[in-house]
Amino acid sequence: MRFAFFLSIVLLLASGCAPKTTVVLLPDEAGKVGAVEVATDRTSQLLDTPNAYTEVWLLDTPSKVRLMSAHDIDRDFSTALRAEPLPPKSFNLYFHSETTTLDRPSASRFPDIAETIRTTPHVEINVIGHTDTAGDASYNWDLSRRRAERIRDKLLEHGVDSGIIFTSFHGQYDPLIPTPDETHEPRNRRVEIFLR
Amino acid sequence: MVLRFFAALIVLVFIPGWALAQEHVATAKTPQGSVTVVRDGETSPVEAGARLFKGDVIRTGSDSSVGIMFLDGTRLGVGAGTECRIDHYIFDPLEDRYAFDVYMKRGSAVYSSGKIGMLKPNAIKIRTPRATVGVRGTRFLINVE
Repeated sequence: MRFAFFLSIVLLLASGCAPKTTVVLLPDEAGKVGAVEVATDRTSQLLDTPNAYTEVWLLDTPSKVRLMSAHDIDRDFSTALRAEPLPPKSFNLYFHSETTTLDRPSASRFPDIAETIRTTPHVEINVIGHTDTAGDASYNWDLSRRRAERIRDKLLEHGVDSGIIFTSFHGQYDPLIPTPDETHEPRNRRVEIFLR
Repeated sequence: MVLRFFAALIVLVFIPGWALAQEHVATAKTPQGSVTVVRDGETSPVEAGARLFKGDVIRTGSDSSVGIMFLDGTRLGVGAGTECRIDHYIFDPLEDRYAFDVYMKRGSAVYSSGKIGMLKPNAIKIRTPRATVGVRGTRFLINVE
């Protein structure tokens, strides 16, 4: 008993005054629950159910998993939760084969996309050009660049500030649908507009 | 000819490096109350829409908070009385290179995965004085006090 007391004093001193860490797993906005691992030099604890939490304190060992009540989550995290930015939004626009011409449904989405950009606070925009694997890789590299620039120009026409648009291109190397080389795939002939 | 080669070499070697060094890694959304960033030893207030860089230390006062949106769509909601530091960040899908390393010295935050969480969850680390949180694509709360 006396030894246990002594030991706990030693551990207390050894662990210094580093603050306690608490980690609580939450479902994401779509309701999906992932997992996190809370690790120390000694050991680790897996959280994989909603509102499960663990604490790491004096013994540098994650506590056993408990569930945190909605009330306690609100008490400790309401400010952080209110500050959380809204999720980013992604739009894929599709092109006719070997062109920088949008297909009709994609072209019709522009007013909606421009409106979303206008109403998202402090938004920045990635415009990322892609091709399918049909044709020469270097040709596709250039085509993906031209597609991205075409969409950037359309955004500028819709009054979007050029300073918040970041254009890049991935050629045939980042397909939405993986295919063998030399494959025509309409879903890979695209530009992604990523609003964040 | 030789001159042109060296000119091209200089452009290839120096310009991308320079561009990389200038690149921001995140944007501050809706700061409330007292929110500051320490960069190169200088402390300045964080305005809405301010760009944040690798190495930045973000501090919130009492009753203060800020949202942080990273380039890949990873989000942090940072609560009151918090100090955190963006230690490392890489989002380079074409080269398949990713890093997300944030140190939470104190305070509270909510983390939500973005594209890095989908593409390479192993690249994500949120560290505290006591622990390291590894992410497998998800949303979680963290408090250090």
